[in-house]
Amino acid sequence: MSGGAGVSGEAGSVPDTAPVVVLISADPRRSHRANEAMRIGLGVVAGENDVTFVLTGPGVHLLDADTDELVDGDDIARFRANLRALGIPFHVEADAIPSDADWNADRHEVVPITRERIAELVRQGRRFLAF
Amino acid sequence: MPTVLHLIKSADAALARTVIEQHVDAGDRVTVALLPGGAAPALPPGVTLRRVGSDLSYTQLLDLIFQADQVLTW
Repeated sequence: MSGGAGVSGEAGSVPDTAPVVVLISADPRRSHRANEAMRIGLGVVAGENDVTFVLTGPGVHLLDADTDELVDGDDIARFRANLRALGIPFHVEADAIPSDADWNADRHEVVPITRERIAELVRQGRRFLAF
Repeated sequence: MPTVLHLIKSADAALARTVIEQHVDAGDRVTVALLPGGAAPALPPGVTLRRVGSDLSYTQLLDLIFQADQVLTW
C-alpha cells in the first residue's frame, strides 16, 4: 500500500449524503501525488458527489502562484481553475497557510480550519482519501 | 457502537491521533493497525494497538478490515 492513497471504507453511522473528504498533505513542489490527488478529487466531483478538499502541511502549496515551481504545474493550474469554476473551496489548515503574499493569488475560496476541525471532517466523511 | 480501524503506514500520525481521539470520544470502538514503517502515536485509553507482521498477520488484518464499519488509512 505504500505510495498509494489512503482510502476509507464507509462507516455504518455515516449518512450516504456525507461528503467525500480528499486530504492532501503531499508536497506539490516535490511529488506528483498532490496533483494526482486533486485530479482524482475532481473526478469524484464529476460523479455528482459532494467533495471536501482539505490541504494540510506542504499540500497548501497547491495554491502557490508560481506553478512553474510545482511538479505538474500546468495540470495543477488547470484543475485549480476547474474547481474554482465549480465553486468548490479548499479547506486549508490554518497553521500551514504561507505568509507569502503570492499564495493563492487567484483568490480561490479558502476556508481556514484547525487540526481539530480537519479531524471532524475526516470522521464525518462518507469516504476519505488521504494523499 | 461503530467499529473503526485506523491503518497507519506513515511516520507522521499526528492528524490520525486527533481523529482517533474524536472517534473514542464519540464512543466508537477503535483499533489501530500499525503497518511496517508506521509510527504509533500516543493513543488514548481504550484503543487497541496491533502491529502487522508482529502480533497481527495480514490474514488477520484482512478480517479486521471486513469487520470494521470504517477503515481509514494514513
